[in-house]
This record gives sequence, structure tokens and C-alpha cells, in this order.
Amino acid sequence: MEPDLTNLPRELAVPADLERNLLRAMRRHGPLRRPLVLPAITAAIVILAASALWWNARPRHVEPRYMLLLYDTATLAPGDHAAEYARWAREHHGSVAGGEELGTRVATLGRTREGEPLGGYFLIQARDDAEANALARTCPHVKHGGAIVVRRIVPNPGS
Amino acid sequence: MDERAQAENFLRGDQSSFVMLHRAHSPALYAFITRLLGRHREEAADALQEVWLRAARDLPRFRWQSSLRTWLFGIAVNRCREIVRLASRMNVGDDLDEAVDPLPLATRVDLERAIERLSLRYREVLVLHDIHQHTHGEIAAMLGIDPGTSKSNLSRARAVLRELLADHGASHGA
Repeated sequence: MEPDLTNLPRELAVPADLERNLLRAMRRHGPLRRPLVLPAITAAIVILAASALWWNARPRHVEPRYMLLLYDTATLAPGDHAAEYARWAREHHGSVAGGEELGTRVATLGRTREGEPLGGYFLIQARDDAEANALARTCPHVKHGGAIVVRRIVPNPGS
Repeated sequence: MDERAQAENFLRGDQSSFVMLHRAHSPALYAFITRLLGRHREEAADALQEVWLRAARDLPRFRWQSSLRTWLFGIAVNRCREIVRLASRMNVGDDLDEAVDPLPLATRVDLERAIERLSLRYREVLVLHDIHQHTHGEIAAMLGIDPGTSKSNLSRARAVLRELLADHGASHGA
């Protein structure tokens, strides 16, 4: 007689802790592995910090700065043509960083050369001396008979 | 959601999809593995866990030309063979080629014990075909044999099982 196996159970209850162990194993070795959040965040911070360091330490081209010293002459009194000077400064705002009219001398400390009084100044940026001189020639102070001395500002080694 | 979608979601890291697959297939796999391991049945839970880990590893390459269960059974067969072979080398387990376990059948033996006494080669075919209702084509693919070999092994397994049960009946009748 042929043994009848069809009544034998085809399923068996799995041990209670199997599912928990399986999930743990799948998280360690299988597709349920958790994304590495902490290492990713750490890596992002390191990259950002390195980028910031590089950005601050990168060699930067800084255009030299010049002072246009405006000396008054006998034909030019302090305050003359102030509006025209301001307009010139606005027209060259990419180069002119600032400028002010100077008042009367308050004191002189030490010895100084005799000459025309310093009536004002402009602070400009230029690629080189030639560009600074070319800009200075366009300043209305020259047209009105004043004298301009162009002096390059010595960069501060710490800046 | 069908099994393929569940499997794909599982591969994308969805835990609930894996739990559904596990609950659908593990009871049958566990019964199968327990019978195949015979007296090494205490290894069954670890073997089942290993089957799922291997399945997770190989699932991206599974081409769905068979059912997922048939494929899982194939992985289970290989894992059980490894365990039985290892036990055999250590002289504590089944012999792969002997038709019958040489230990005498206990007087309270039942059908399960008789199946357990079959060699792994016959037990595989008998359990897959007569209990889990796989076709000879599926069994051949799982075991890496010809369908004809599957049929002849099943025939031999049934004959040995009959002998074991007859001996058991005779010993009880004596």
C-alpha cells in the first residue's frame, strides 16, 4: 500500500523569536540596512569646513588703493565745485571708494613742506599706477586749476 | 500587492514587505527544512534564517521564471545539504548515499520518523513532491537533476518508505 503523505502538515509554526532575529540580521547584512546618517552628516560637515578654510585661504587679487590728494591753488578755494566733484565720484563709483573735503588746518606736528593747502582727497582703487593716473586726470579738480598728487596706499601686511 | 512588488519593495528597504514575504513562506520553508534536516532538525531555525539572507542577497538576480516559493525551496535544499554534509563529515549525521539511515526504527515510529530515516537524496524528492506538491520539473530545477532522475528517486523513496513501514508493522505485530 502506498503511504499517504498528503495529510502530513506542509507548514510548521516558526519559532517566536525568528522574525525578530531575521529583521535584526536583515538590518545588519541585508536590504534593510539603515542608511548611514551620522557618517553622512559628519562627512558633510568636514567638507563644508574644508571648503570654508579653502575659501578664506585662497589667494585673492586685491586691487591696489590710491589716494588722490587734492591741493587748492590761488584760483581755487575750498568747497568750490563740490557738486561737480561729487558727480565725478558717482560716475566713477566702481573705482572711487570715498572722498571728502578737508577743512582748515588744525595743527601741524613736526616739519612739513610749504605749498598749497590740501583741500580734499579721494580714495580710489585701480589695477595699477597708470590706471590710477588716468583716473586722476579726469578729476574736475585738474580742470579747475587744482593740483592732484596720486599716492599709492601701502597695504597693511595683516589685511 | 503581488509578491514581485513586495520583493522589489523589500529590496528598496521596506521592512513591512519583507515581513509579509517571511510570514507567507517561512512556515512552509520551516516544515520543509525540518524534514530535510531529519535528526539535525535543531539547526532548522538557523538554516531558515540563512535561507532568507541568501534570498535577500540573490533576489536582484532572480528572474521570476519560477514562483518565489519554488526558488526559496531551492535555496533551502542547498542549505540543508551543506548542513547534512558537514554533519556527515563529522560522523554525526546522515549519509547522503545510503538509502536508509542505519539506525533501527523505534517501535513508536510514525510516518514522519520513517521519512526522517530516508537518505537525504530520497527525502528531498519525496518531501518536495508528495508533501509540498512540487512537480518533477520544479524539483529537477531545484536539485540540479533531470526530471527522469526525480521520478526514479521518488519511486525508490516510496518503495523504501513502504519497506520501513512494513517492518514497523511486522515488529508491532510480532
